[in-house]
Amino acid sequence: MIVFGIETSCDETAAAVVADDRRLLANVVLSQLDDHRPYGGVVPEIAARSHLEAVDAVAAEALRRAGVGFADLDGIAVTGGPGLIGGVLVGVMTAKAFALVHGLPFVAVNHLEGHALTARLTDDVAFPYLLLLVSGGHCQLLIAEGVGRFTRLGTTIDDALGEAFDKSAKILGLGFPGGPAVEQAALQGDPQHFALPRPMKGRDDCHFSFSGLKTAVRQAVERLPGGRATPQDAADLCASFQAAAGDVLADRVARAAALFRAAHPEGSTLVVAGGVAANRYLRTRLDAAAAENGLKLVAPPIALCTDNGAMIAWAGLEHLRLGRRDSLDFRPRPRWPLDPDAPPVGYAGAKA
Amino acid sequence: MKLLAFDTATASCSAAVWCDGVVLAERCHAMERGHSEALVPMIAAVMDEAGLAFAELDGIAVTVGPGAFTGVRIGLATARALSLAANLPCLGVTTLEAVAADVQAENDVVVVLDAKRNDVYAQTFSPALQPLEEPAAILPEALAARLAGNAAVTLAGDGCELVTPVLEAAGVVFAVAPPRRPRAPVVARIAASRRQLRSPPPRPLYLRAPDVTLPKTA
Repeated sequence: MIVFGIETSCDETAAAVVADDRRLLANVVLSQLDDHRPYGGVVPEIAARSHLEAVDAVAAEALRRAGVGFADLDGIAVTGGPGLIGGVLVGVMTAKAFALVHGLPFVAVNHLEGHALTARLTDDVAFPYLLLLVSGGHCQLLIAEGVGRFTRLGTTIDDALGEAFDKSAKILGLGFPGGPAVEQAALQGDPQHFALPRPMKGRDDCHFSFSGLKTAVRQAVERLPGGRATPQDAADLCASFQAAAGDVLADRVARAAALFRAAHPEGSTLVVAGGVAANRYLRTRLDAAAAENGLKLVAPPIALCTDNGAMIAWAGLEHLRLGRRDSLDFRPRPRWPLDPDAPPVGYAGAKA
Repeated sequence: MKLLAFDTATASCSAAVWCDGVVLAERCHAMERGHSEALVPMIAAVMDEAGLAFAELDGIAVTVGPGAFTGVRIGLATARALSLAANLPCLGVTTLEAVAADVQAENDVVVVLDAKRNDVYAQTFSPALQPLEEPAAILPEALAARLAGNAAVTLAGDGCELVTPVLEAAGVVFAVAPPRRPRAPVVARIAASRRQLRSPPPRPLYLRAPDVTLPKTA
């Protein structure tokens, strides 16, 4: 089985071709970073316009690199949500049109499940596994029980971790996107120079909160001479921020690991997925946290942690081989929780 | 020449299969939203009713705007993807010229489309359907000033009622005629009249920059 996947839910226009023997035949990602950088964040209308300009050419390039034609495909998968709806629509219409012309099964994939199942493409991880999903829009701990079956253990009650990275970078004048900038600056910094809070650490649940950590970064800057961070201050703050985030993740993972092992004594894997999983420092911290809790960490290659089409093609393939497909009147879903039964947590608009 | 044509840029969703002036199949539903769900099944239905496979078509025609940004993108993303998947040329027609080409009039035709803002999308065409100006997003008062003192014109499009009080106040002489929105067979007819082999994929006509301001630099 060979499946084509399209991803357009944020600021990457991406398409990929994967096979059911876990071969990645092509993976084309076109970043829109330069379009959004002047605004210090992703602008939804600009993103939607850029996706429309590029998605057909990106799709054609993925087929060319894979050395396949539409006739060789067994299905078309596309991100159906959650995400920026203007971009999602562009991808969904493109995928529907491909499916219609060639009479192929069409499957709408939950973007979060794309991240969640990537470790099965890269490392053949078996269900069940504990999953930490950390990105610019989400921060969740879940048990992955099967394709389309997730139990949420915890989520952020306010900001996602990637959002805290971006906002801290903005406070420090490090530019957009903040994740790589903070990680780079932290390499020259002292992680103990600034005493930053460890929100939620020690609490008897698996939730997160990062809004206060970002505020603490801003307040630390305001207390500096002249209210400005020197390059060394910024490096120290980045290192201190990452250390705090690492402590929180390790603590929350330990809680979740206990719940996971109680529910699934045979479970042995912690998977980390999402854009923040590209951070090398946090990967090291999570590796140690997994080991302390009797789990093995699986982190996909960095290029497959950030948004891409391969994860969508793979998640689509997993659904298709279980016989699931969607109708061509599918309506994109701007909100689409992985665990629809999980109760809302935290403030209205929290990234559950 | 056999064309599949459709429009989702306005408050309706329409699709047609057209062959040398004959409409083989046509669907049209008024809708403010829901185009993304309706369009592809509608295309499947008209292709089925026309009894044609995509390989038997000579091209795809689509409206490129101006209209609702999301609707414009739904139509264009679908058209460009069909074009790639079926290896067919794809041709773009503006919503304004599609409405103008559907008007019966002996004088100049002013097409006015609802832009869901204070201004409207407007363009004036000669009776022979030559555009007399560039398409524009324009306030009703500015449109009235442009038309005041001219010979009588025919207005068409779903933005007419938004401008008629202002035009009357400015002394513009006009009559209102159908249609209110683009119809897919007309989109096909225009595309057929100007078809060039292997033109680049059509691009959206937004007439408006994204609603965003640059942050103040520190």
